[in-house]
Amino acid sequence: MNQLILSLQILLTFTKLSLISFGGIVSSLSELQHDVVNKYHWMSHSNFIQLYALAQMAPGPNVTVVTLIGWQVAGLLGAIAATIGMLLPASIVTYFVSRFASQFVGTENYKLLERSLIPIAIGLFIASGLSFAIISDRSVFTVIVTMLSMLLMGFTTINPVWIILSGAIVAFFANFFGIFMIS
Amino acid sequence: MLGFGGVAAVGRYIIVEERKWLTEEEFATYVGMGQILPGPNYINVSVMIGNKYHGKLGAFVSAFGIYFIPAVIVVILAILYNKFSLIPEIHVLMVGAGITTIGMIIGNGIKMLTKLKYDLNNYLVILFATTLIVIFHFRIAQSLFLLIPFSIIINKIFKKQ
Repeated sequence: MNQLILSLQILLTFTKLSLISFGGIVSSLSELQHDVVNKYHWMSHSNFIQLYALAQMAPGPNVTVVTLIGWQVAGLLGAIAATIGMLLPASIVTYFVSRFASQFVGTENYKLLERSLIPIAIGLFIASGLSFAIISDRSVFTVIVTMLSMLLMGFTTINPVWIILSGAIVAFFANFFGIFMIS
Repeated sequence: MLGFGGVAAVGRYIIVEERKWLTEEEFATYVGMGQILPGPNYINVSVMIGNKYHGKLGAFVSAFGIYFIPAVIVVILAILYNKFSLIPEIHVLMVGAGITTIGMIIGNGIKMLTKLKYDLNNYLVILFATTLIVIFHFRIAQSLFLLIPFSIIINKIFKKQ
C-alpha cells in the first residue's frame, strides 16, 4: 500500500516535471530537487546529487535520472511510475504539436518563440547548477572542484564521463590526505 | 533506435546518414522543436520520427524504445550503488562525482550559450532566470510565467538583424 501511494506521488511529481521542463530535464532539476528533498523528504540533497551523477555516467539521455529516483524511492513500481510520468505527458504534447508543425515551423512567430525559449532553458540550466552549488559547496575544496568541472565542461570537448571520474578520484585523494572532509 | 542515447552527434549520424529517416533539414527542425517543447529533447525527437513513419503507435513505441536500455542500465547502477555506497571509500568517490556534476550542469549551460550568436537579449534572459531561481527561490512554473513573456517581449522589440 505504502509503495502504491509513493508511486502515485512519484507519477504526479514527474508528470508536472514533464510539462514544465523546457529544453530538457536539466532546466527543471531545481524543481525536482525541491520536491524530492524538501517536499517529500525521499532523500538527502547529497543523495540526490549522487544519483544525478550516477545517471550522467551511464550511457543514454540524462533524463534517466528520473527512473533512478523512482527506483530508489519505491522500487520497480516507482521506476515505472517515474518513467511514465516523465515521458508520457511530454510525448503527448509533442505528438499533437508536431502534427501541425508544417503550418507554423519557419513562420516569423515560430522563430520568435524559438529565439525566446532557448535562452530561458539555458538560464534555467545555469540557475539549477548554481543553486545546487550553493547548497552543496561548503568548503574551498568543493568550490574549486565545482568551478574546475564547470570550466572543463563549458570550454572543452572532453567526454563528461572523464570529468566526473576525475572529480571523484580527486575527491578521494583529497579526503585521503585530510583536505576534504565529508560531514 | 536504441543506440542513439545521449550524444546528439551520434543521433544525427544514425538518423540522417545511416538510416536516412530524415533529411538534414528535417532533423534540424525536429531537434529545434524538441528543444522548445516541454520534456526531454531526444524523447520528443523520437516521438516525431516515430509518428512520421508509423503514426500514433510508432510515436510512443519509439519514445519508450529509445529509453528502455538506458533505463535498465541505470537501475543496475542503482542496485550497485545501494550495495556499495555505505563503504566509506565508495561514498567519498560518489560525493566527489556529485560535486563535479554540479559544475558540469553550469558548464553545460555555458557551452550552449557560447553556441548561440552573441546577443544582449540572451544574456538579459539568462540573468533574469538565474536571479529568480537562485536569489528569489522561484519555482520553475512561477518563473516561466515571468520569463516567457519577458523573453518574447524583449526579443520582439530588439529584433535580431
